[in-house]
Amino acid sequence: MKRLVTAVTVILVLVALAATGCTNKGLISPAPEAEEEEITSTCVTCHTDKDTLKELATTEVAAKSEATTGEG
Amino acid sequence: MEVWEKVFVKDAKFLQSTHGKVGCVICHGGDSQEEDKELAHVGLVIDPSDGDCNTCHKDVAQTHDLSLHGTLSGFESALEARGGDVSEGSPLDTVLENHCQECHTSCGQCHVSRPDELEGGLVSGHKFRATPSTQYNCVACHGARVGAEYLGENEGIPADVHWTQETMLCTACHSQELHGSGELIESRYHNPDMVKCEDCHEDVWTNTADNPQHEQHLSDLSCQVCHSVAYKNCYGCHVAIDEEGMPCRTSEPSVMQFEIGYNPLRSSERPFKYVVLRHVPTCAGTCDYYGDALFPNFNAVSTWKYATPHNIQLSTPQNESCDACHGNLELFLTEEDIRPEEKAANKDVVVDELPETVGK
Ligand code: HEC
Ligand code: HEC
Ligand code: HEC
Ligand code: HEC
Ligand code: HEC
Ligand code: HEC
Ligand code: HEC
Ligand code: HEC
Repeated sequence: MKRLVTAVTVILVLVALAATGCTNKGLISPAPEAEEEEITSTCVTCHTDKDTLKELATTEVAAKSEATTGEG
Repeated sequence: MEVWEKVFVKDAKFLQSTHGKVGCVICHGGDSQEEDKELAHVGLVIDPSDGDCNTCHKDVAQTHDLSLHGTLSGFESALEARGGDVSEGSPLDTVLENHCQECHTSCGQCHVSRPDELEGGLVSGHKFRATPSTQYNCVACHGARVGAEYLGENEGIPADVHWTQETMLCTACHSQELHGSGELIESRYHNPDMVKCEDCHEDVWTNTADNPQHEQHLSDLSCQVCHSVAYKNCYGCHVAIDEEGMPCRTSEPSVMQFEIGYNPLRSSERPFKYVVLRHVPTCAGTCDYYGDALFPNFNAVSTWKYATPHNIQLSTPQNESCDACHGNLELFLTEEDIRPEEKAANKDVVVDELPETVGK
């Protein structure tokens, strides 16, 4: 009897786990590495933060010659 | 645009999009684990268009690589047509590199960022816009002539009817033909898929009953001869390297003129005997800084070239009546309009005989 109770309990737990998708996580969820890498990416952190960008952005050197006159 | 704004990925939706999910580093290089700006940017590729789009957009990438935007083959063939040597390492090859490359148009310069001409910067967040921005992409490069004409920025000259009546953007008429046809072409008038007026105005040819001018002239005058107005002409461009080692160029002030001449590109696609002609900035000495006599056959091609000004009007001074045009010397490019040193180059496009007045 005790064995049966244990067996049923184990089966129920497994069913519950399977139903919530817990046991399969590693197999079916799409490439978690990629997402995680994106979350910790310093590129994203910085380029989505206005204040950091304001602080760090450097004025570029003038890309055009002052000697240019007239239309192109 | 502020410097920081140019690089601000303001729309977080980008990160969830097809392109965003690819990951910054795959496209731009650099190191996404570094906290320090300089270190994170080691190996950075500012414009990754050249390699990274063709994995998923093979078809577009293949034709784009041969298009005028992608190759600038139009500039090369224009120099070659005057006998110029553009082979690798030649003076004109250096000219192309120093003065023309900036107009090389990558995928990103139409779909993601402003072109170098505006010193870069994201157009809207980091969105990959299916439709390029008229203002920040097309007109950024095509502003001096086409853009200014279309939007009515030349003093005293009205904007194009398609802008004033319908607010049509560049992309209302120009679409994926800009990706090229897959063949290398000679000039901006050789794209086989280029838009035509008749694509939208199909009935101009069939429905001429109330329009005697259409009835008489649709096959020998281009549409612009009757429907465009004065446009910009440039003269005397010289390119050089300035004291700081930067490419520079000078030219005479531009002139607004309207000139009808013979069609230099007459073909079955462009059968018109008459078209409007635009003076291009080029002169024999344009590249003198780089060497002597770089155009041994300068006169092989006219300096007044086939043109399609983007300032279309329903009514124009020349289409007011038949005789507004017939016999009107002002409208036609004649010997007297040509600079002495350019007479030989333009001998095939100047009009020698005006149409006589018809009393209408
Ligand atoms: C699918 C490839 C791709 C991915 C992924 C990508 N980019 Fe870009 N990015 C581009 C292209 C193409 C341009 C336009 C470059 C140009 O035209 O000069 C661009 C432009 C930019 C610019 C503006 C550069 C300028 O001066 O115009 C910034 C900043 C930028 N990307 C940051 C990022 C960041 C941060 C990420 C990650 C969140 C990212 N990019 C992901 C392709 C990509
Ligand atoms: C990983 C594959 C992939 C790469 C790499 C990629 N694209 Fe795309 N692109 C797509 C898909 C899929 C679509 C279809 C629409 C969507 O899912 O956003 C698309 C759509 C587009 C669109 C139309 C946008 C829209 O809203 O319909 C443009 C423009 C575009 N891509 C440009 C580029 C450029 C430029 C590059 C190179 C910097 C590039 N793509 C790289 C997969 C890719
Ligand atoms: C000179 C500007 C220009 C350049 C350069 C350019 N495109 Fe486009 N592209 C356009 C225009 C215009 C459209 C059509 C927009 C519309 O239909 O509203 C378009 C449409 C697209 C679309 C959407 C197609 C669809 O089915 O809706 C994709 C994807 C695309 N381009 C990818 C690219 C890629 C990849 C490159 C580089 C290999 C590139 N483009 C280079 C102007 C350009
Ligand atoms: C980075 C600069 C740049 C941008 C951005 C750009 N162009 Fe161009 N465009 C050029 C250059 C350079 C040529 C080639 C001129 C030549 O060879 O005579 C060209 C050629 C053309 C042509 C000639 C025909 C052909 O085969 O392509 C058309 C039409 C055109 N552009 C329209 C557009 C439109 C519309 C847009 C916006 C969607 C646009 N361009 C964006 C630089 C640019
Ligand atoms: C109402 C339609 C229409 C609109 C809107 C339009 N174009 Fe055009 N475009 C044409 C036609 C038609 C031609 C001539 C094609 C030919 O003869 O092969 C042309 C030719 C061109 C050319 C090549 C010839 C030249 O004049 O250099 C460029 C570049 C160009 N267009 C750019 C633009 C730009 C930039 C815009 C937006 C400011 C724009 N176009 C808006 C219809 C249009
Ligand atoms: C993409 C479609 C398209 C193209 C290409 C196009 N048009 Fe139009 N055009 C229109 C529309 C739409 C209108 C406004 C509605 C109308 O009056 O027909 C218009 C109006 C006009 C008008 C004023 C008509 C009126 O009754 O007020 C003229 C003239 C005209 N176009 C000439 C041209 C010429 C010349 C070209 C080639 C350089 C051209 N169009 C190319 C769509 C186009
Ligand atoms: C010989 C001069 C001439 C030529 C060439 C010409 N047009 Fe016209 N067009 C006119 C005149 C005149 C009108 C009527 C103007 C008015 O009502 O004030 C007109 C009217 C139009 C209209 C308004 C609707 C209509 O059909 O009457 C459109 C659209 C148009 N033209 C398009 C074109 C296109 C497209 C071409 C080239 C295929 C062209 N035109 C060539 C003189 C010309
Ligand atoms: C914008 C200019 C323009 C307008 C408007 C114009 N024409 Fe012409 N016409 C010409 C030109 C240019 C020629 C010379 C054609 C040639 O050399 O083959 C010409 C030639 C002619 C000819 C001689 C045909 C030939 O092949 O020799 C006749 C007839 C004619 N036009 C009638 C008219 C009538 C009628 C109108 C008014 C309903 C008119 N034209 C409006 C420019 C114009």
